[in-house]
Amino acid sequence: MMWRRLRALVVRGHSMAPTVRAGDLLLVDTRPGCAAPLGRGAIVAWAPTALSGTVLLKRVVGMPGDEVLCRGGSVWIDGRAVDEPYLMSAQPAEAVARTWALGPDEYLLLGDRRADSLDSRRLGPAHLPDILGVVQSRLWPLWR
Amino acid sequence: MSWTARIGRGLAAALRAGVGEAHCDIPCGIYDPHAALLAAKTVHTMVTKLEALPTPGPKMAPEEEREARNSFARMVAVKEVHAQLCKQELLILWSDFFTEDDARRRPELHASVWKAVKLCSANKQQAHHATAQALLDACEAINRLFQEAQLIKSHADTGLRPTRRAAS
Repeated sequence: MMWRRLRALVVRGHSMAPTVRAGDLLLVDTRPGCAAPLGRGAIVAWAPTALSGTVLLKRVVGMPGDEVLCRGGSVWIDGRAVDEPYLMSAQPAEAVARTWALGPDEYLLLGDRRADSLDSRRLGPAHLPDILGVVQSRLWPLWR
Repeated sequence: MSWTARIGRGLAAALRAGVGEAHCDIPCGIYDPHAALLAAKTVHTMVTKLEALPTPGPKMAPEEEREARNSFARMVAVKEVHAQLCKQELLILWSDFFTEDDARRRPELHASVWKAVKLCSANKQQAHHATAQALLDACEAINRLFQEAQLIKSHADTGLRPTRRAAS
């Protein structure tokens, strides 16, 4: 029963603005295996073990096997700057340039508001089993 | 509440929607000394590895010397980055997590954090095992203060009093 695997989530917080805003109602596909293969740029529901049950909404920026560098407000993957049209505006520079070499089931998940987001930069890369599902659509409001 | 928000809330209730946190960094109140500890451990590991590197000299083959110099540069770079990260994470705990009550209960709190961030800087300037170990010890001490403060806060939230052992 596919509908039983779909889950509605109300967004709390502003770290995914402007794409997803506080109060939005999202439809998340939580079917087993829906997260694999995950697309770069997808917004996912992630339950990091460090936060014991809290579900975060973040964007997939780094894929397994990628070498990701966050530097000067930009993300570089395998030496190439990533085009991120979903970001609101120029992002403030990272205080520290950091690199992650992602393992076979590791994803780097970041918020769209880089200056104010709790994500893989502090929690570490996400492992596939901790990714609960992929955001499929916005149920409400309809006009954004 | 606007009509759009009312419809959204009604839909969410009808669909038994859960909450997806688009967490911001500071206002959400999620703090964890794990990141500082991990960074301090990385600094410590890098210093240990640096000490174990062969010293380039006239008897070393050119390829071996190049490898050693490359490893040296990479280890120093990682040490530099993680010492700075450790400082950043400690300062977040100090400015955003710990409260005046924590400082009153534990008068050594400010000095402990100040000493730890100074050690972050010292570990950028130096590559000494003792300095790296001192940073690790300082971060573990702050972790203990954090866990204690966290426990007291959670007891305050539930209206229970911490046990003598937990508060000691």
